[in-house]
Amino acid sequence: PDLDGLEVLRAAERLEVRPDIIITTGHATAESTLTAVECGAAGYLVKPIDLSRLSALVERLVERRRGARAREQFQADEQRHAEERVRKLRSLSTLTRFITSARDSEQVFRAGAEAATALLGAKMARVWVDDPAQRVLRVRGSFGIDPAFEQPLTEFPAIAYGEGQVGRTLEARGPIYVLDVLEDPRWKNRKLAEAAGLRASATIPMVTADRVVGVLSILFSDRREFSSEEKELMALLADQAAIAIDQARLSEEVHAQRNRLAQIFESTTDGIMFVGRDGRIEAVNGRVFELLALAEAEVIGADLVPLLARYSGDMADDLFEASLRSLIHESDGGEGDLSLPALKRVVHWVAQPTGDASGNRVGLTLTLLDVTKEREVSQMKTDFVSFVTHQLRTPLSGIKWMLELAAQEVARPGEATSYVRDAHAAAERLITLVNDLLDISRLERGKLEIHLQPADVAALTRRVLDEVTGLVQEQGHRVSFDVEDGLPAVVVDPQLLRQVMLNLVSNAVKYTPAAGQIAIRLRRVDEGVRWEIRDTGIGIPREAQRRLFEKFYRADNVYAVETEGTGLGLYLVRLILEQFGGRVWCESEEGQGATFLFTLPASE
Amino acid sequence: MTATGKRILLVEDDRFLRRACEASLRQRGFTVTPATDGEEGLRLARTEAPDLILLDLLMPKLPGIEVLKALKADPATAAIPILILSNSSREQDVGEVMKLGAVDYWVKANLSLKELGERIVRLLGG
Repeated sequence: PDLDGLEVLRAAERLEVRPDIIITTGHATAESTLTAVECGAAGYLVKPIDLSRLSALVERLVERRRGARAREQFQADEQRHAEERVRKLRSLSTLTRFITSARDSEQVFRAGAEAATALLGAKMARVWVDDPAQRVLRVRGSFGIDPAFEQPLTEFPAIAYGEGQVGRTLEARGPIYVLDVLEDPRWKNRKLAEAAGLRASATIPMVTADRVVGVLSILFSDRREFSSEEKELMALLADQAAIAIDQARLSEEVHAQRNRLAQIFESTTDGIMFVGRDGRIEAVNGRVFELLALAEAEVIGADLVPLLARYSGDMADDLFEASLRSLIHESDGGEGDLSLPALKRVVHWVAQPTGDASGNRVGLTLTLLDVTKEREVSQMKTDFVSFVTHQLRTPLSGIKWMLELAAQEVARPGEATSYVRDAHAAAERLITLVNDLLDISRLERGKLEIHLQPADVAALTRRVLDEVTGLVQEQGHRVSFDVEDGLPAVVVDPQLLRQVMLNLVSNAVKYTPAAGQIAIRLRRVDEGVRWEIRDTGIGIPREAQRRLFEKFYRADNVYAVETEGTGLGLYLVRLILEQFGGRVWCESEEGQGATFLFTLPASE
Repeated sequence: MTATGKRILLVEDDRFLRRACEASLRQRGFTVTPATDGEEGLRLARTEAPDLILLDLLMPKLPGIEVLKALKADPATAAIPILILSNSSREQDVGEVMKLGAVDYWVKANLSLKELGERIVRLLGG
């Protein structure tokens, strides 16, 4: 009466849950049938209703509805599962990215534990890492540990292979799932687990290549089994964690290696420089700055050739540059000395071409070594040898020539004898020279036998003066000797002291022009006794005074060249006096003669 | 072949070598003026106008090299031939003296007086 069927049909469209509507009417026209269908009627029956037809229709509709519901449910479930999987994969991917980017092992371990807890809804997770040396596994990262239980739960920081669920997982190289630890007799500390609210436990080995690097242990607050999807997830997580652990470890190793190399680089006593193909200095160690006396800023990034060209000194600049350039680009390397006169230094350099891993030449490595001392010593040795050669040859050629003359003068015995005498004298000089060389060598090595005894210096002096009387008269010199009273006693080797005095006196006699004056004085001083000899010769320039007592003789050191060969002179004098605890020096003004002085300590 | 009239200035600090060399050269007829050191040598070179100077290198006070340089620098003595008679044989010395204009460099220890004399005769001619 109030709404007709079609109106109800239309109104039903607006319902949330739309029932199937079957129109029953006594009155059917093609038009009304069409309208009803358009409005969504599920069926259209004309009265009188065939009950079997009605029942069949209703059954069909109910069947259809049930199916639809089931399909909906199925789709909704599928949708939910898919979303969950996507969510989990996304979290897994995010966390994995974090794990693999962690450079520090500790970060990795913690992140791994956190990921496991989050993704699986676990209560707690721990990362155990293998220590193959000790054959144990140690907890290196954990997440979700209840602070109240932190202490006891970390009381077992190491688990031996095969021990506990974790240890067994390692040995089995496969996961172990425990439904409820409280029921598992193999679990060690069940009381603690209970107090911490832990029930289900999963342990998964972390494997890279073929090596088990540790075990991931995940603990849940419920007693439960794990779906294959969850097991897959845990395995995936363990794999990622294994890779990340390996990476972090490698990264730490690389870092440690790099540090070690950097320390070696800096601590060597050689300077090391790496020069790129463009000739620029790319890497340098601190020693280079010292050797070249340059600031860091001047060296790094600088062009090698102009930098070194500063020091080329006497080398033609072009030649130097050319050789440096060819060194950088072509050659198989080389070595040489670089003289740095401004720094009074000689640096030996060695250049080696440097290649990358594929063998392509990327530049040059230069090693710098300070060889100043070695070159000096080498030069000194050369000078010494040439000096000694000369000193030995002089008396030898004297002997030879004298004997040659003597042989000629057989008919005139007087002449011959005189030549023979000279040959003899020259021979003696030679012997003195060789002996002095030996003395110096022994003194330097601390191997000379010194016979110390109390000595009368004045008496010794007089004896020496007697020895040189002839020479003095020849030159027409006047010699005076003055001794102070009350001189303290000294202890010396008289033979050696005689040598010293003879040398100083002879020098004075020789280097003073004829008819000069030589004054020798013996005085008491604080240290002991001072002996001095003053002449009226030409004097000795200041620069030369320093070098008078030097060890190594240079051909241009005129004071090292001893005429009349009384020995190797002042160096030996110095060595001997130093043995006695004394010292020797010279005072002189050019043109005003020279005074040579030495002191001897008083003996107690 | 005699050498009468040729004057040789001998600059040598070692007295044995000086005496032997002088005696030997006199025997050959040379006039020999001895100098015991470089300074005396320079002085005598200027005053005696020798035909040849025999110069030792390693001498005290004034080294032979300096004497050589001075002789060559002084027009009065630059033309006089100079023979280095030394007992050092450092290569750098030999090179240097030849560059400075010495005629030759002989090592005394390796020469007999006879050879020395013969070489000088050849050098100075009759």
